Amino acid sequence: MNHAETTTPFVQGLLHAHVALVTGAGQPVANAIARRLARAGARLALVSSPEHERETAALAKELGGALVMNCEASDAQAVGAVVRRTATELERIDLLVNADLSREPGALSDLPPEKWKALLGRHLSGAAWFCKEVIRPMMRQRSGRIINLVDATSGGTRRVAAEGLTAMTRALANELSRQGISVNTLAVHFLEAETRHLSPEQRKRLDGELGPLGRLGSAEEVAEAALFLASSAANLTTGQRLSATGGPA
Amino acid sequence: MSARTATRQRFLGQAVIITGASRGIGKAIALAFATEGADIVLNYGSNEEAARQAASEVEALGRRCVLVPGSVASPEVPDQLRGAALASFGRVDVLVNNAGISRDGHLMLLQPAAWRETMDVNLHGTLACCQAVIPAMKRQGHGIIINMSSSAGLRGRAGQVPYAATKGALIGLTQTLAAELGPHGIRVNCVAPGFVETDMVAGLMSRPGVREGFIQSTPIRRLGTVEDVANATLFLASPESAYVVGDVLRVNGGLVM
Repeated sequence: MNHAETTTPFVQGLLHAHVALVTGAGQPVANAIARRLARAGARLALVSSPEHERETAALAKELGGALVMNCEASDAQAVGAVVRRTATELERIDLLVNADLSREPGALSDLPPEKWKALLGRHLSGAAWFCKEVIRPMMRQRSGRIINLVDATSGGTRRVAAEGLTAMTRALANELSRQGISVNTLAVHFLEAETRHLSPEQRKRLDGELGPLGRLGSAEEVAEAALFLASSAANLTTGQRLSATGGPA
Repeated sequence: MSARTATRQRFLGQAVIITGASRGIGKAIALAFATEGADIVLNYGSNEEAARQAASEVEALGRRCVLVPGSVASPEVPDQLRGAALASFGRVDVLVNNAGISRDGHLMLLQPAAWRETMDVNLHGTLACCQAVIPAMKRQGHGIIINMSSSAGLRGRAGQVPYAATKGALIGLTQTLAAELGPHGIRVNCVAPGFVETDMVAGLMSRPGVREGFIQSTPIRRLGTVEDVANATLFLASPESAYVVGDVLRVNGGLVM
């Protein structure tokens, strides 16, 4: 059952004429957020990493058109070019959703330095470059929203990037509050759909970590939380970490 | 610096590596460990004169001190730190990842190089030092790693985005390593100091009103001392904190609660 479809309180046209830049396109959570924002009336710019180009093109087609770009998020120059192109072609940027999530496994104790640097370069520095580049267009409008998604599952570099982004979000919210720009973190956990690939043993361990709701969520439910942060319902919300995880931090 | 009175010798005969320890918080931690019986591997970035002074203060306490120069972001330094501990003292009981830098300024105007530099030292350098000592600590069946976060990692201030991002990330690093290494008898924790009077913030503190503003925003109505941070660090390294794992110990006078 799709819990989100049946319960959403948000009206049509909530984000009418808004321009939203969504990164991580081609991945389940980013795609669900893009669909939800589009249904709320937003015009979309989708940024994917090179390995998700095909899924992103399919998503754009499904949405009836979107500005589609791809870039390596760790490349500050490339991010600058993508954001400038969005501001030029769609004429404004109201919302940035940093939704490029990592699910790379591996222990930190012996993670090769080049692998560690590549992951953090993409998921922590990459998110920072997107934030940095959207500030100028948002300042011109004297309004803007930034939502930084973080992966609340443990292991690998995920928690490192998540805590880094959470702290960065709080600092940036302080920096930009007078400019009418709010910045929040949205924490996500494993999605029910992702557990199909898990072994019975991994699934059992994951079930042991479930929060009070006792279940994992869907990408569509995460998208509703993103829509809340993007909407005027969150006018007073900045520097916060909203958890759409069913309980786990 | 106020004189320390050694009432206990909790670290007698232990080998402690401290990065960024020629001045400020790192030096205070080195002297606190030495006062309680530890031998020190003291890393410093570039201030050799200050490092030699710190070493002579450790030696005046009757302990040994080995100096290892260089940034923790240099590929060879983490291995040199472990090598110095094992060659000189035959063991490595505690690693304190204290080395850190801050490149302040608004994100919109930030140069990518300043971000990378902060990441290299505060985050990449810290993981590299951890990875350098982990195999030796696993062989010993015990070890302590303490990372230096900051109240900025809990609630970042405007103009400190790169610093906040790295200090927050260190909390995630601490928790992840704590989970991985707990089964091997290695405890990993971090300390998050508030406003402490050190060279790092001297420039900021000298601006009109800033020092007083910091004091007023701290419930206990004073700035932290380097000894305040050293005391907390020694607690996390001592058997008194044997069941404290993956924690963030706030040493901030109530600044961030």
